[in-house]
Amino acid sequence: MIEGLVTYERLVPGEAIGSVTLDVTPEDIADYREAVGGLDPEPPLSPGLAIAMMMRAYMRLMPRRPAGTIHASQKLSLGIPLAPSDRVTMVLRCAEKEQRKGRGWVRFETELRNQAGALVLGGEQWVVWAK
Amino acid sequence: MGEMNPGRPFLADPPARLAERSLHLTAEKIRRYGALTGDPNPIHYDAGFAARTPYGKPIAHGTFTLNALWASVTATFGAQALAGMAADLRFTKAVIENDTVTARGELVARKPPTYRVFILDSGGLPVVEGRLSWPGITRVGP
Repeated sequence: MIEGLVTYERLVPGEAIGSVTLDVTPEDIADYREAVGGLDPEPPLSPGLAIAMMMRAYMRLMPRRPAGTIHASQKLSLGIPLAPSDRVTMVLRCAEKEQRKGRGWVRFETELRNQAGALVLGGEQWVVWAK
Repeated sequence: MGEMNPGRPFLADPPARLAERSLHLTAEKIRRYGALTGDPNPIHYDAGFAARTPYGKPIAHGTFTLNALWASVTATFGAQALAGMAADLRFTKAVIENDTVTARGELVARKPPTYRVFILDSGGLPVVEGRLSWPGITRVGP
């Protein structure tokens, strides 16, 4: 986890930012299904919920990000689906950063695994980091 | 002539297009998704804050809009197709609250099965563009 405001300069390519473990609760599942409004009608749980858990872990590992930071792209590799009551652990790593037209771009790598160590979700995202 | 893709027969003859699915992004749904992800960014919830941004109004989370795409894949192949799938997606335009987005996809390769995909806003403009594929599937059918 990075304490305090996470500036572009503080992000170091190749370094792990941290990991966080989350439980998939009945409330999470209900909230997700309410949010998508019937698009997730049946088990197995949608990868959309796994992605929401990934984003929750991302927010917790870097709680203070500059306002105006933009999620530009997302790669995903979907593994086994989440199940109710799963306990998942996400590892977040800063993989790369570069300047493009005067703006800082950061590539993060994420991996979400369940309590058995099985891959639920692998991800890679480019974020335009605000100043 | 046996099935060369045991466990994934739904990918043996992928259709030319994915079934379209839409998601209406109300302010309440955006708020609920934001609570789920723990995203405090006021650009998603605060009309006063959003009015001072180039968007003018609150916008949906990019990953929230992707749910139309997962629904599209599920409607086409069934939920079991999602495991093993790879996605490479760009968020190309913000989605203003209360808009409806629709996911579409067209088959561009069969080995491995690959779809060029879009999520469009109600004006028909792409908000997400990219590809979905099943990279482990290099042989399908007989």
